Amino acid sequence: MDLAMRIKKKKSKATMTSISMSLQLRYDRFFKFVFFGSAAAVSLVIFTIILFVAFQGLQTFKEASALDFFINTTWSPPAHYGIFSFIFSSFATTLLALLIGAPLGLAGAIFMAKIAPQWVRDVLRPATDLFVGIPSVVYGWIGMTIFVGIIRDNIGGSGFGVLAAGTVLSVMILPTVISISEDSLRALPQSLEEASYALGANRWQTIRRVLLPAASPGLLAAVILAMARAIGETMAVQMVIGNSPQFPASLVLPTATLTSWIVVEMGNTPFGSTINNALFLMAFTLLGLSMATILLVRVVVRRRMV
Amino acid sequence: MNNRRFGDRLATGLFWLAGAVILGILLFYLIFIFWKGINVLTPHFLLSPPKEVAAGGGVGPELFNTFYILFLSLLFSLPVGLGAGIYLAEYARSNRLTYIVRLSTESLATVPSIVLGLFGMIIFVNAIGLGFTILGGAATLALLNLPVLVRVTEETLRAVPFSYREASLALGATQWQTIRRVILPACFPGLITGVTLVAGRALGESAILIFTAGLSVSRHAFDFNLFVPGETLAVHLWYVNAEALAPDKDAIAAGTSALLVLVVLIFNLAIGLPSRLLQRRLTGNK
Amino acid sequence: MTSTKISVQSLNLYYKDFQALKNVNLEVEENQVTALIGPSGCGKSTFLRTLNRMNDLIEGVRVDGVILLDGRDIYRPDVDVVNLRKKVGMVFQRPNPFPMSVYDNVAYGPRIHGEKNKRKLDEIVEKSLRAAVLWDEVQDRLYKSALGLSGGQQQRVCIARLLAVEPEVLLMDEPTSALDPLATLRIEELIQVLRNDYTIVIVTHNMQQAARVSGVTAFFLNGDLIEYGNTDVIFTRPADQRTEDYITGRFG
Repeated sequence: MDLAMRIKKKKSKATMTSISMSLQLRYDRFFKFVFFGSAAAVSLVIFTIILFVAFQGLQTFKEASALDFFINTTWSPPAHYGIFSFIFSSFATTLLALLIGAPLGLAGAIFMAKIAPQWVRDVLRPATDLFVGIPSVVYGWIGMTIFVGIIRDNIGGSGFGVLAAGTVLSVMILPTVISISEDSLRALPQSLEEASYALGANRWQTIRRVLLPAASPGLLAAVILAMARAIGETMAVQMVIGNSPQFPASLVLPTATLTSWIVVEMGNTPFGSTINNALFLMAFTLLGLSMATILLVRVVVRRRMV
Repeated sequence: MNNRRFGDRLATGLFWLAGAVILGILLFYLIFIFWKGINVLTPHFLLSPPKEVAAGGGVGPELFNTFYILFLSLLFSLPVGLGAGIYLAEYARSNRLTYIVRLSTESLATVPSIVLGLFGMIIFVNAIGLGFTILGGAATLALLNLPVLVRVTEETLRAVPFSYREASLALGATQWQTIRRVILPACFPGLITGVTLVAGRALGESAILIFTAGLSVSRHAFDFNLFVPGETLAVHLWYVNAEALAPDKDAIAAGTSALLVLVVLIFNLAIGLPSRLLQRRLTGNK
Repeated sequence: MTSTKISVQSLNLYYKDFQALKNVNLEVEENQVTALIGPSGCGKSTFLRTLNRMNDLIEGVRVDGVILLDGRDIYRPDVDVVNLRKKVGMVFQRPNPFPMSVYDNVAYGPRIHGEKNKRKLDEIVEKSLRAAVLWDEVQDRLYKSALGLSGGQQQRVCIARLLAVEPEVLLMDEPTSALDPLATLRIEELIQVLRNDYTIVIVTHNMQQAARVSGVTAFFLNGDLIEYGNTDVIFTRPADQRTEDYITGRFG
């Protein structure tokens, strides 16, 4: 009686809601489609970029030989389109930046993850974020106004060159190194540390013999990504490298990297000319380098899983 | 035994030193930037247009363009970035397609910005034939924002406990209702922080904009026209250093640097604080 | 006098290559509390989740067999899962209120099912909170975050949230395992009240709890339903040796 009535009432309600429900289900399907579409669009972007930059850049080979392009150090179009000096300078500045920035950044990460008291951490965390917030042109400007002068006065040359660029970059890669290696140190299980302490090891021994080896894939990934950041950095480097298309025989000789030379020449050359296409080919080379780092990071990080 | 203790002490000291050096570099940079530039920041400097050969130029249009282009680039990238992040966090199964989406997002994140700039140049300046425009610059800048937005969205959504989803679905909600009414509100503060991060980076970006938005500004103040060139603060700083002829270009560079960093700082504080307050209200802490 | 609410027939569940439920047959009576007991990993929670198809959310789960709710198979492809879950609600192991006010938590269900009228919502929220015996404790903090409540109160918010969508069946997955004894007692009292209006299936680790709250008990072991029947019978004269071993604490 009473029970039967209640059930009846509920039944009628159920059919009513199922009408509005089908509308909700349609919304549900619609938005799933929208989200999938967004994801597909994002993936499409990278392929489009590769395609367009490659298409434009590879036209260089209509007039220049590939071998000449990659191994010749002489950039004097239209006779020679050699970009080896640029590639070499890119790697030289990056290596120098890593030599200074990576140890400092790793030490900072260890400090923040395992040693610093909470309040110091609360100061350092936003500080490393601020390093990211400072625009690269401001880094370049600081390099021009401070480092170049110091190098000129103390070491020699004009002050512009690989040394100045590497110094500027070493600070710019700090946040990348710090945040990724700190994350990977934090991701280690507490039990590792406890086990080491329980065996009578002190903090430094624990860090050096247990934590660093355990976190090494993450630390390596941090350094590789910092390297990608340094190779791709453009404006800061362009402002302190000297912008001369010559081989960097010394750290204080004005030279040019892949990125900085694109900036210098792009404005002066007509679109579609071979020299302009060569700049796109340099961009394509950069694209290849950054893809390579992504794959490298994947390989390095996957090793941790095994 | 003593040796061991000494090693530990030494290492601890060195790590403290590393922390101090990092903080010291930052403080030195900030103090240097503001010491050089803060007295350049007069109302006249902030509002008047730049001058090519004479002294006394300002950065009014550049300041405007900076925010205008930032706003447009977020307008283009936010819907797609959020959508893709939601897809990866809520819908994606672990299959080949998801792998490709993830890999391409990661790849896009490491593309050097100069390469993005050249890509934008091919598309907007040459293929479509717009020349240097605010629209082209903002659209290309959106490509820089995209992968970071996707990653931040996915990470923030994944941090929401699975139990919220269970609870909502068990009440008969659809997946879309669950996302809109439970998941997104719960991670709103995190998303705001992520967007601030993205905006801070886009604010200072220059390599992308030089060859898409160009090096000149409209002659009209506060020109909303999408199809005129639009030099931003960061690009202006580079231009002043590289090519300007004005006799006071050092002061202008210093002032522009200080202004850029100031804007980034204000941006982080202005958006960071409310989201932290909101976070507290959501979790019921006093 | 009793009628069958849910009828489970030859139910098998596989997780990838692992078979988590083996040929389960069970009748759940209407307006009765059915307790599912058994050692950890025996499949009782998995079984509970088949009843409102929450296992659909987990990748790699396959189900075969038949589950009839009011005589209709809930695993038929044309079944609207959303509607099913509205009828068959669930309370989880850990209290999982949303990070919203108490009011918004309880009003969540009615809102997603299309109720917009503020007066009506007020009514539903009060009724549900009263039914969950929580109204007196939270009526002056309805608009504050539910996460600020105690664990026991949070669990009752979850129950109120569930009652607000007017389900017919309540599934409870160890609803008191994260609560202290006093809060547990309150929830058990609440279950006694709710049994008059709802069909309840509860998974519990706690044998005393099963004995206190349920009318029917089912014992699971390694994915098999060993036996089920009246709770007093199961606890005093189980038919199967393994049931007796478990209940007397000889394993698990």
